[in-house]
Amino acid sequence: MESGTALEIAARIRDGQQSAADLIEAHLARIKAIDPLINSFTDVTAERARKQALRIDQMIEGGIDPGPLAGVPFAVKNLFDIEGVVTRAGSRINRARPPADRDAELILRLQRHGAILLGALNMGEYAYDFTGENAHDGNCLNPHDRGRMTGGSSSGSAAAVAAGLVPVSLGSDTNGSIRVPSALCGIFGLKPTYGRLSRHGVFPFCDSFDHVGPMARSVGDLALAFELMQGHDPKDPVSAAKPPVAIDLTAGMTGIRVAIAGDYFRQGGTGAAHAAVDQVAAALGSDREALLPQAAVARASAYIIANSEGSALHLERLRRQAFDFDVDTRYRFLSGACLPAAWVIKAQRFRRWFQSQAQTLFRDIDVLLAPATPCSAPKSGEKWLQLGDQTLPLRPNLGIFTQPISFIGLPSLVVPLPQESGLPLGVQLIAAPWREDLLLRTASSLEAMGVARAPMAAL
Amino acid sequence: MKEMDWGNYLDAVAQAIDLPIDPDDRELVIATLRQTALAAVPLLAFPLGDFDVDAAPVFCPEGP
Repeated sequence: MESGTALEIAARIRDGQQSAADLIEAHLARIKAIDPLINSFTDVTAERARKQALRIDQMIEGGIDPGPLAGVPFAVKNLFDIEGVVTRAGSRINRARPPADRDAELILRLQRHGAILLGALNMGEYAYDFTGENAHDGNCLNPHDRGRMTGGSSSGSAAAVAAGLVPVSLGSDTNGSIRVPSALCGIFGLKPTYGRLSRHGVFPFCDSFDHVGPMARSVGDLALAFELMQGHDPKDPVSAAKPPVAIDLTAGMTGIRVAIAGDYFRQGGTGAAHAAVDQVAAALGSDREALLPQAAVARASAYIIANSEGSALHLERLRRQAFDFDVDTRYRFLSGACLPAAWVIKAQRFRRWFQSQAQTLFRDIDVLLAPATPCSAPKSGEKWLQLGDQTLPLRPNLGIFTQPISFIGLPSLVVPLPQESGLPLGVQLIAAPWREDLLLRTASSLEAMGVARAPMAAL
Repeated sequence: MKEMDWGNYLDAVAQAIDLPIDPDDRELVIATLRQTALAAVPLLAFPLGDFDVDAAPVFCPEGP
């Protein structure tokens, strides 16, 4: 199959070098051949895609430009509403719901610019997952090593992109669910500022820090998808009335001050995970460290709020049909429903304090570097994480470096670094609120230097 | 300080919020509560002032 980035695909379609219909058939054939190996798709919307491709081809024939994403295939985590498809949110319980009666806002926005939806993607149950394992739809497998985890909860969104089934996907991120699987599957993933992208038509987990964002194998594709999805949406109560930020990937690093996140972020991972951060810092010419104080408390607070808010969302389902949840989700939600209110309120008050510390930090720097995960992709089914002489529970610890960042809504972009082991690692680029432009410029520079790369997995 | 009895706590809260806990789940839920309590220690010890508050959203009703 002739693959390529979204930008290359759109150029071919707009120039008439390839029809959207042919391109979509090739992608559907690839999904049919490859997806059984990795289990990234839960629903393939083939007929809808064919109709959309036909419409794109008719526009081209009629001299109408379908837009910068002309004919570009994409897919979404299965908590995004797709008209006519049941929004599973990775659960068994949601399958009893009627199919969605309209598309999520971000699907509509991408389609408006010519993109073509190919389907819905596997995910951790109700997005409460860092592993990519799912008891109801089967585990999503890492395309770089199918005996290993994809990371979660946007497991299918990362795996489908890494395997070249789609150039762009959408995921959601509450505690790290875009960034963890992007790192473990070796792709670029952007969790924008809280309130930047509309969550309308997206099944929630923890509303006070649920985010949505794009995932791709090139910075250009990531930037383009992000750029086209921006803009206030009154249907999402936290969508900010901010003007879209302009992205200039040719602007280079001039004026961008980079530092490594110190203290908490310099420990708790494998040597390779911390070396990846050093590699990125060296490439960007920085040996400076900066401190985001009390990150461990931030992580604890994020855990408590997510546990409590998520459980409150599902309380009625926990009362009526607890045994329809996967056991690993069920006991965490049951526990979260019973947390003392004083803990949750304290965590919320701390969130405001921590946010003010981050605001101070970003007066002196522009981009902060931190590991995305403490390790590369663990083996499927693994329950423990070995760090030196410490044995830690794997599931919660995959998010130790992402949770403090999403907790206060900072934008964070994961850049992938291929490793000799064949298992990629990811580094988080973190900026002040609303400065996704700086993250994308930095990622683009790293990509141009060959430091950050997302080669398609060999399957 | 006396060790917290999370089993008693769970039974009382679950009853108060009308949340049935299956006997097969009880030990796992208690273990999770205990883990969360451990995670909460640094947060609960963190000093916040009376004016370190979590502000409510500012409501902006649409105009007429």
